[in-house]
Amino acid sequence: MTRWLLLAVFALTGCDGAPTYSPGVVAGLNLGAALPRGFLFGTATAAHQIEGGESNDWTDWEAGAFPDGRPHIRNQDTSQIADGSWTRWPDDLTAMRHLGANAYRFSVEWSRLEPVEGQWDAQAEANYRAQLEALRAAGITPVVTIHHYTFPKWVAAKGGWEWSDPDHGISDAMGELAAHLGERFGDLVDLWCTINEPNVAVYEAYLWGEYPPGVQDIGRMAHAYVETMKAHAKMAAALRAHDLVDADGDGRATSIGLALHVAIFEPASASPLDVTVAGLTDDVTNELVPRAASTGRVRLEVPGTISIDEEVPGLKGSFDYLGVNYYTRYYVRFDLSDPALSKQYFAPGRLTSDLGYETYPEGMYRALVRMGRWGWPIYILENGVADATGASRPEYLRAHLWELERAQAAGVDVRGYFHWSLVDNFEWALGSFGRLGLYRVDTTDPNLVRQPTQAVDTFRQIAIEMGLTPTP
Amino acid sequence: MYRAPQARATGRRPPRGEPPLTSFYEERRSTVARTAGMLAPPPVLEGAMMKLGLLRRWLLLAVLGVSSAAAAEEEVAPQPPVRNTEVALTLGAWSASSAYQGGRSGALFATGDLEARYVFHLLALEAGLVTQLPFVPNGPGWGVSALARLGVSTGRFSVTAGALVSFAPSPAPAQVLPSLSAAVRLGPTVASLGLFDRFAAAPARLSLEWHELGLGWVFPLGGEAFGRIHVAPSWAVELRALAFSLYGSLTVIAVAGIVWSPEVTP
Repeated sequence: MTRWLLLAVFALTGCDGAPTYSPGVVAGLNLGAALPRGFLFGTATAAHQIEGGESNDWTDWEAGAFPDGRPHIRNQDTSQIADGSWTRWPDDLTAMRHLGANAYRFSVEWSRLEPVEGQWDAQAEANYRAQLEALRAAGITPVVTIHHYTFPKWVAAKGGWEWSDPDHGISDAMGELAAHLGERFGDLVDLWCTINEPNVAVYEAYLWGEYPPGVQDIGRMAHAYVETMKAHAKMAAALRAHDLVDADGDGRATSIGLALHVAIFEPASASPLDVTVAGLTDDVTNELVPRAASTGRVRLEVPGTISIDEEVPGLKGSFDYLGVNYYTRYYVRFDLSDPALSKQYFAPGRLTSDLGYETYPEGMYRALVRMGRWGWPIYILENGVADATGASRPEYLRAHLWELERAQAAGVDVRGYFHWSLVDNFEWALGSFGRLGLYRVDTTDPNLVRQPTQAVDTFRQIAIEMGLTPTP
Repeated sequence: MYRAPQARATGRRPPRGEPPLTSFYEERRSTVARTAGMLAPPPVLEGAMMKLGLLRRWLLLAVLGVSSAAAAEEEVAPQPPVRNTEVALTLGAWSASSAYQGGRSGALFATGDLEARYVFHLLALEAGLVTQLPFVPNGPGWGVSALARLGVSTGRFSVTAGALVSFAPSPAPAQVLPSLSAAVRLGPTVASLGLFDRFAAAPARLSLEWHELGLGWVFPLGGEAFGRIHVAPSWAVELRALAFSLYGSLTVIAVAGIVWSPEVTP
């Protein structure tokens, strides 16, 4: 009776009855056994965060400081060493094989491939091609991200996301990049991720000013957001036109999507203002991109500030899948002093990562069920925890995978899980502070040895349950 | 333009040799204007005003001005104030949710609302405390809002203005918002409007009251309904429901409670 009463109340009020994760329930389960054949279970990285030795808009940014003297990067860290993966990628491959992973998501660095406009670097292409061939040889499916936050300096000089020359702007340039990659790597790559977290990219760069070019202007953020969608549409079209080889024999030459940062936003209280700003934040962060890809129109409404409703040619139908990067939950409080009319914070009294992010596995289920309603297959392209000790990572991994399995059992078409990250890496504005790797890397160690954390065994156990075969 | 409603209502004309009624009201208006600072304020207030700052000065002057106008009206024909002294305690449910593709995300709260009004010689002081406690843990947290308004309540109209302070378990500072409540008697009906006055929640509303029943529109899309049933001298049971949508968020509040109105006998 109570159950029916609660269900009636939830139905009446629109509440979704958030599930509650219980570590005790998960402890005895053989996670992974229920995942379907062909499920991709791997790790994720990004070029700028692991390769070292880049020269792009971020390396310029890393050397600078904000007007108040605060360095752009915590402790003035730089990405110059990172994990040295540009040359040490075979070490990464060894680590992946030890994990038993059957997939790897990584990004190619545009500034290496096209350091000068129109001039392609054959040596850089050869290096990426060698990585892709080695992955395929090891039975590891590559998922290639084309844009992961960074721009070549020549693109940044033209305005980055604001390069809006009607004859040849940022979306055209990114379309040409995708065409080039489709031609060169299409025989090895089927799964393409055009842009990583377009929502976070424009928030950080144009709203909060924490990433280059360090702007705090909600209007410019909105227009940059629209440009990301135009760029995605042109990249998707270019990939379909230029990658004509079915690399994995599933009958399709390409499977194209992007990685959307999906978060759970709770209002701080029942105050209508808190609820409204939480809803608006949620809409701009979680809904705008899938809605745009579903309808072909970018609609962005911020009361009294922005009203955009623009058709983007080629956007509708450009998704073969939706990539979801899920980490945490935010509470949202109305605040007139903030450009976004709100402040976000993490729940007090809950388990948190080194970055202060709440560990909220239930959010994985909620995000998947919700995003599943759009109808595309879903890949979790990022999920992980900053933990320098590595002690909480095994439980984090199991808890989130359990919630993924629950979502799948509820009918959501989830086809892969990529743990962020394979190795500790350069964590953007936080520098070396956030340690998210399954393998720890000490940047002061000249050999940059990949040292397994406790969660490596957890990952391996799950892989074995899935029928994969980790190397000893 | 200030009207002379009581003179029109009684139809009284001034006898020959007496100053016309309009002069009487113009004299009153000049008192109001002087009090409101259009002329020099009284010396006793001047020092205090300098310290209060511009905003507070105008708020104070507005209250004094309206109060003075109300006094002028009451001198002609005193009648029970539109809003009288009362204390109301209501309890109920509060739902807050926002929409997304194919669903809504939200939470359900228990709410308690204590509101009191004290009317003394036309001056009205209103205070309230609204709380929300979530039914389900691990979601949005509790909230407490306190509001205080000061103004006047006459037989024809009432206006109170003040502030609303909302607290929630967050590192964010307390929210401070304006709160306004106004009502005017139109024959047997009372029309009222408010800013953040209903449950410290409705951003703006416009309502009509007829006897003990009321219906209203809540900005931008919503409504409210309320009614009172007298159960004893000075005591009534109140039922109140309010629902409104604001940029995709939906707030639904339904409460029942008891009202004590010492000046009212059914």
